[in-house]
Amino acid sequence: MKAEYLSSIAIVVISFLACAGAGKLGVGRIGSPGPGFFPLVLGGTTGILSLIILFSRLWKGRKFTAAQSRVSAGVVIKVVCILAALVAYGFFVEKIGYVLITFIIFGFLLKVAGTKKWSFVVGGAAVVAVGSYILFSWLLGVSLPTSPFGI
Amino acid sequence: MDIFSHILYGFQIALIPVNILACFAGVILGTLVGVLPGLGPVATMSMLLPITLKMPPVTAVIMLSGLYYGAQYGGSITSILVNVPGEATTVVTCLDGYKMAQKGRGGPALGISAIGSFIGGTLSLIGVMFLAAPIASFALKFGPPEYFAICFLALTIVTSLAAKSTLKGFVMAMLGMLVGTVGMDLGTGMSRFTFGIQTLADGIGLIPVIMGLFGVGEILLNVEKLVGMNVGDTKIGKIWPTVKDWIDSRWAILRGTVIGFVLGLIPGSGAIISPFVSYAVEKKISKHPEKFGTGVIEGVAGPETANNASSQASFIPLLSLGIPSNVVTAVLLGALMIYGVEPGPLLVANRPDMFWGVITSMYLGNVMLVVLNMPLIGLWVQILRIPYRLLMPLILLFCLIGVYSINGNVVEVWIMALFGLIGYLMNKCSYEPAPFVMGLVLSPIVEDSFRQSLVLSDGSFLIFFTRPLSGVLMLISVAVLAGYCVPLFKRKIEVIKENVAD
Repeated sequence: MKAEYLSSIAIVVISFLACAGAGKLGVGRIGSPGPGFFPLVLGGTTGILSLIILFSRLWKGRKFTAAQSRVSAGVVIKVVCILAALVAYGFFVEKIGYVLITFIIFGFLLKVAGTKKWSFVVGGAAVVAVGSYILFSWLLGVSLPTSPFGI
Repeated sequence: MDIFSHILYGFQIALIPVNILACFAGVILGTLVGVLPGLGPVATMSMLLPITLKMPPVTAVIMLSGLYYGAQYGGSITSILVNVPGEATTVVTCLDGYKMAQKGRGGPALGISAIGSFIGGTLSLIGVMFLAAPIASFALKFGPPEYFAICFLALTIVTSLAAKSTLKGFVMAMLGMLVGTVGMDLGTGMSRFTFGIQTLADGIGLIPVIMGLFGVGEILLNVEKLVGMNVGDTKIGKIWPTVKDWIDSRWAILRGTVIGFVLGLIPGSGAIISPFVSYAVEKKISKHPEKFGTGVIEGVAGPETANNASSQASFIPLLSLGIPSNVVTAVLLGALMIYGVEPGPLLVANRPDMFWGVITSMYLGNVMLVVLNMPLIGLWVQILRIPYRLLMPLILLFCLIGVYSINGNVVEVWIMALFGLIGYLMNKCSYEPAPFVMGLVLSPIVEDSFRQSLVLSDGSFLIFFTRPLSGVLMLISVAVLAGYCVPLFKRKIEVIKENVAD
């Protein structure tokens, strides 16, 4: 239930910011809409709908007790690890090249997913990094960044 | 040229070896992603986009289309064998398909599903061939109010189909359109909501958003399970249906074709409603409705036929009007734009190779699916046994390669990660990503037609209701909305009355 409140409040805030930003862009008039007109309409409508959702949840919250869907700490850690891996991939792919970053990130993701044997993690990551480079770069002609060593 | 010359021309395009190969790759990949958990046709199409950029546009669209209708076949395999729908369109197949499998008749269920899909898809294509071009010619007369009304109807239907909450579906569609306003305003050239980030000058890319919401978001949700599918004890038996199965299913297949085709024409409905309608119709007119849900073959044949007929009919609004019917065709629309092809009424006249080549390739695709999939069902079952802990890193890697290689821009990788998190949180808070993506894709068309209409009418909103076609479409949208709102208000009033009485 808390997540529902927070999500509704977050959307109301986003809608308010969108309306404020739209106002700065120039709304124009109805017969001659400016660049901010459409975002203002969308922001306003989204805000009103989210407030309806929020108040209907508040109403229900007083009357009913809903089962909360709890997420365990282990799952949160895995979710954070996966997102961190994606962000890190973006940071390093052009600096150290596709093969090396793919080897590191793929091995890391195998561990996050629960693969226990280190030999499988290292071997699997190496095969996938090199194999996917050959497939995408050499065979399919996709442009992938290389390291200072050429791959 | 008459219609038969067009069809002949289409086959000349579709039968070029590279296009046959693309069609084959598309349908096989489509079946594979339909079978695999956590990887749908939306994310896969997005991943394949960078590869298809090297191909001629017709070849690329033939492959991506094959992937779309191939996924309908694949999705039914998991529905029947493990009671887990591979796609939203195969949910209803679980009801009788899985029961058949439990009784040791998984083979005939898979067989009739493949044959029904083939018949539905093929007959639907005949309708597409005869209707798409006249609709495109008619659409040339559309003005901004008509386009706005069609988009409004599409968004209304998509949001009303949101399984969790229609109101939340609307919020998502509005937010999607709001995100679609990021970038340069085409009317004035002014930058909107870019915060000085150069990557955002052309707007937020569709592909990173889709890969984030449907690829990464789905992975994050599946982290909670990290389990493979249990197909251990499911019996498949002989694939080919018996004579009795044929007799029991023949009318269900024909009715499913008509239902799927008609519903597939409606912008926004896509292939999602038709299997449910088909199942409801079969149950209603059956001599033994009480047996539905216990493993009757009509309960598999009708819906499976309808979803394929519908998915092929949904190419009419996409190619003739430039309006996607669902998220998958929204990705196809995005792909066409990336290839420099503008879908819409002029496509048939300006790019007949694209239009007729893609449509006729679907005949080939349907034949390939039925010929290949019947003997390959054993292989798909083996693929179902791959542990998810191995698939998960592979899917993420393909997402990364796909997003990065479109523009070689790492900012888009971060946008994908951000939308992955947003998609995960959306699901946790019962918001669905499909209306968001539809809003994002339709945003430029909606804004453009909305502003132009208001300029034409000097600010009068009545323009959307006073022109005949837009008026009818808006009234249908209002009826759809009323169909949702009226029962909701009635329930609220009853709750308030009960509270007052207490």
